[in-house]
Amino acid sequence: MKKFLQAALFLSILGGSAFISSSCNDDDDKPVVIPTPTPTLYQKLGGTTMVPDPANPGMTIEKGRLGLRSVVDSTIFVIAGDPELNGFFTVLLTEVGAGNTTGFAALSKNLTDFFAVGSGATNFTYTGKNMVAAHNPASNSRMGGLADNGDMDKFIADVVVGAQKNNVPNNLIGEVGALLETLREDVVQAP
Amino acid sequence: MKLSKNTKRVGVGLLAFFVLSFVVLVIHVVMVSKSIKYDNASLQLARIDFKQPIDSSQAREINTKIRKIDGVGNTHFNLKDGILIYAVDSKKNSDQAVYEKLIAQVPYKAERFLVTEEMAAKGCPAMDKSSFAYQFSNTVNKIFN
Repeated sequence: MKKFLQAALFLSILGGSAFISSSCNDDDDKPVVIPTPTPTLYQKLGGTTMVPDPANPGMTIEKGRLGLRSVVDSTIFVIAGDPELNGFFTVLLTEVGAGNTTGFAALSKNLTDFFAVGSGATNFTYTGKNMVAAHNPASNSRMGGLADNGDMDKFIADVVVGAQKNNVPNNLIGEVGALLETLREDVVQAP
Repeated sequence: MKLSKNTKRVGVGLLAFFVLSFVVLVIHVVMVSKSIKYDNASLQLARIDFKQPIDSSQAREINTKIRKIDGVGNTHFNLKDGILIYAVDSKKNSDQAVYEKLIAQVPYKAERFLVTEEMAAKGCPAMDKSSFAYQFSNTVNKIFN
């Protein structure tokens, strides 16, 4: 009996030591590395930081959205003056009269919402047609014809000009271009 | 013709249903319109096509003069094709008045670009002003917003 108790005590001490040593293992001192999430394009453009809105005095706007809207608005100007593309956007220039929402305002909101959602913004929604339906004359009677790769290239080039007018850094322009490239298959429907 | 009580009740019920539906539709249009905020809602884009070559110094001159006209905001000049795009606040001025004022100040041949009905029926954005839905929404907005 005495020998049994001694053996039990020895094993308990041995087991306890093993338990303590494993709990105090050096590995526990190593910090657990949680990978930092990669910022979205929207966050790189300023994200949800609120800044004064130059278009609406006294109001604020998310910095990311302001950056995108500035690029979109500049791009609209470039497209309106580009004979290779402005045929798709002539409604922009339709005079609507004082007090009515202009084609420019409507397209600006539409495209800004689209880019905001596409670049990772979470406080906006895009309620327009999807890119396939929007560029298919069968589902969008306002689409005068099918867009081809040349049209898409020109559109991206005009967006780049719009972004450069707003001093967007080249690396972010590249990300915007990459985002647009993901839409090429949906937009280009000409054989 | 004498109508039975039941017929009258059905008639009143139908009338009440349509009136209620109309009221709901009007409230819906008002609520939805209020929730859609357009930045620069009154900024009208317009285009002038120059019918002679314009060099960069002439473009600078044109830009300087047009930006001094009341209501004109940003401009963009496509030098290669001689196309000037400008934005005018429709609450302050009209693009026709801006065009006439600019042309009076510069010695260059130019034409104001006008959107035809055929052009207005196609292209982005989709603003079909001739549709009943657009006209109904516009009327409701003018009354309530």
